[in-house]
Amino acid sequence: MTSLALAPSRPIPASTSWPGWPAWPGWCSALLALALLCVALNCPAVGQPAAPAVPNLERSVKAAYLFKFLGYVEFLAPKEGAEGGSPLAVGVLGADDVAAELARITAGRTVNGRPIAVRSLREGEPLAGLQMVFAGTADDLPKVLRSAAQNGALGVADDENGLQHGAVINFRIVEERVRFEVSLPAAERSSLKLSSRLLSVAWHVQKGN
Amino acid sequence: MLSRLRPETVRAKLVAMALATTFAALVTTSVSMLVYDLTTFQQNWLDDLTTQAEIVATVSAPAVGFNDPAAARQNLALLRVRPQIQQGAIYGAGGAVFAAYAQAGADVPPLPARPGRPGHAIEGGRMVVYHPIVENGERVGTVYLSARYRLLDRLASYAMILVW
Repeated sequence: MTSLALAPSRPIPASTSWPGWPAWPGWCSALLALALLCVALNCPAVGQPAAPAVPNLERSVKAAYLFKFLGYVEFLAPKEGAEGGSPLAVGVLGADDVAAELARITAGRTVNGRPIAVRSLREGEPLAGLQMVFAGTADDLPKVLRSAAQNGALGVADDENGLQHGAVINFRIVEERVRFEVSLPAAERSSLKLSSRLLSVAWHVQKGN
Repeated sequence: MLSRLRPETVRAKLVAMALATTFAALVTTSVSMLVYDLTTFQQNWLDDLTTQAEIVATVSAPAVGFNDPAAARQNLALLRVRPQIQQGAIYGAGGAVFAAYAQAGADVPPLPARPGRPGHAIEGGRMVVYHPIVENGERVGTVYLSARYRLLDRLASYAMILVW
């Protein structure tokens, strides 16, 4: 970038000419300098995604927690192709940034010997085959979470009333920190067994009757 | 002077030889027992401290993973039932102190700024243990425990028994 950025600082004189090349008018040199400046300023963005590079700590923490949740859950409902070694499928609905962050931190890592496969979901997309669904603050949260429970997937929400909507785990911000609450009845409905070690660090645990 | 202590008769020589042999056997046995006891004492104490560190590491792994220092401090506070363990700490994956504990009324030195390598060390009358916190095959932190290690006290009391 440095060499390109310096290029415009040495403008080509209007009278400059090379053998065999026609003389450049002044406005043409100025245009060239402007073009070089644009290229130089855009150089760092080459090869990077168009998404803003602003770090989002909350998003990163939630993505990291989603990955860690998988290690504390036992999936009791049998799934097709869910034999040992097959990837743990995680669907992220309506939060592409979380999906991207989750995919980044789970790349090359495993949970109980199983790799993680992350995919972004669109509204109405079937949830069959997924082990975990992050529904965030989706408009049809109860419907998505109900579908996740029916498919034996761990439903995670990021909503003030997430547990009431049927989430097994719901993110909460408590004293400016990301915490989570857990619903044991929802886990039971989803045929999931949560480790007591996970419950020991939950902000709130909703127990059954 | 020495000639006066030298036994004259064969009987006296035999008695002296038996006494010398017995004394030598007693000394050898006492030293062997002392060395064995001190070695066992150190090994048992190390095993005990390592077990405590392992328990703290296992219990505290979720607290470290989900950034809950209060839960980690509660886990460390359980060490109060072992007065010999005077100081404890949990370090995060980055090496910063995540949660700390000190026995009430104990005169403890400042915590190490960074965790040491997994293992143990004996320094200044204390045995310290560094134990990794591993979760899902990944190291997420380190447990540090420091306990009184009174080897000289143990040596003195054991030597007293042997002398008596």
